[in-house]
Amino acid sequence: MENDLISKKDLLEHAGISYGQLYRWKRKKLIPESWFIRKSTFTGQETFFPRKSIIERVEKIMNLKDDVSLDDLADMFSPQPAAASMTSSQLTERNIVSPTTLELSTRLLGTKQEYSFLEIVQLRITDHLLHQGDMTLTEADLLLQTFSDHREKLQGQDMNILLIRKMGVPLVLFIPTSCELLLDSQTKVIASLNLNGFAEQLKIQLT
Amino acid sequence: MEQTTRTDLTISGSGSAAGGFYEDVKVNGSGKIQGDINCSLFKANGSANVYGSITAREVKINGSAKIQGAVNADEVTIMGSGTIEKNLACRELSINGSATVAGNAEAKECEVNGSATFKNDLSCDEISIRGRAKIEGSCSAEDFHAKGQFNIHGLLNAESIEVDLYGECKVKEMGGKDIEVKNTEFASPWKKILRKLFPSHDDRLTAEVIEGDNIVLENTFAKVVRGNHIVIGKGCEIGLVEYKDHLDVRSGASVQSEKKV
Repeated sequence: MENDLISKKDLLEHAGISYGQLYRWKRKKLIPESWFIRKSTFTGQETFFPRKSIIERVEKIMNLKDDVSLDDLADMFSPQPAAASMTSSQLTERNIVSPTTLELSTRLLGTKQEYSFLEIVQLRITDHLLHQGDMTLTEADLLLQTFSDHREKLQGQDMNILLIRKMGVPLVLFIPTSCELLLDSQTKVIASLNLNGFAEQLKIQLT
Repeated sequence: MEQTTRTDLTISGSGSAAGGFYEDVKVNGSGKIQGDINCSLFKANGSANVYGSITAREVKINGSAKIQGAVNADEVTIMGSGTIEKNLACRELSINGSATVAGNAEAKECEVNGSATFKNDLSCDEISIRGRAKIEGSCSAEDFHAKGQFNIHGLLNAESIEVDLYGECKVKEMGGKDIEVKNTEFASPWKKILRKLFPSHDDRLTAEVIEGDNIVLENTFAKVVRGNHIVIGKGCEIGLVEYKDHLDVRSGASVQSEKKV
């Protein structure tokens, strides 16, 4: 998360725009939801934005809005997921992956200069399950290892990711979304997640 | 897919059918449809349970229908009771009975005359609420017009917001260009009757934050109101007003603090 924030009031003043314009751009998804940071101040609820990103974005919109329709602008700002890659410090700074999960991954798979979009998605899934308290650390290792082992096969594929346990023994399964898995009654499904769902979420957050 | 070979499906007593391609689908008795349907008209006069999604030109629910999947249609009319468990996307949505949409709802025009619950976001070009609407996510529109009750848990974001107060309205945050909340008092005969029947009925809007270019409020309780041109009318209780160009606080309104920015 960026530390340098600008309040909505200051942003309007700085950019010379009105509430109406800002809300219109938000409605048209020109400004991502995650940039709206709500904080309680002594005057009540106020909204803040990451200063650098929002000022850049507003300038771009102001420059382009007379030539390009707002809908086209929205498409422009939606990132091409394949091109996105980030360093570990960027991941923690932007609050995309928690330091705990990154540490886990580094310990298991070594230090990485940059993480690809798909790798970030996988880290996020691990992160999510750990935070939910569904998965133990050993199981997280297993999940990360499995992701790493089947990296090529996961590229461009939509899979459901399953974590199941039988008599305390964990298993990680990746199955195509079109398949249904039938299990015996003693097997417990701890978590079932969709890879694409997480990819989509990340795309939105990276905007 | 051959368009010409499409046939009608009618369930009159109690029965079940498979999904697939049809011309008109009518459920008059009690019917179960297992799977996705693609049809021209889907009409539920009795009780219909669809275990799948519907893609149609027109969806009409006169009786009761529960759709486990998503609905994609040109026109959706709910006169009876309808539940959609996933997303709804259509051009015209009109709810005269009672409807629940569990996923996100998207429409060009949306009219709520009955009672509607949206468990997620609702986004439209035009929204008109004359009945009662509950939106558990956020609501965005170009034109938002309410002459009924609404309760929005998130943000109401519209170019133009026009509210005629009937009963209690609630919204967490409200933002847009032009915002007008009016209390029409006893101007309309309907309201006169409503008042007689339910004397305790409070016509008011409660919000945490209201932000807009031009704001005119009556009978509004808000913590913060921010804008360029603001009129705080009768019956308002506002914590803080921040204005840029002009502020007019009318008699019968209370504003704790005001600030020109």
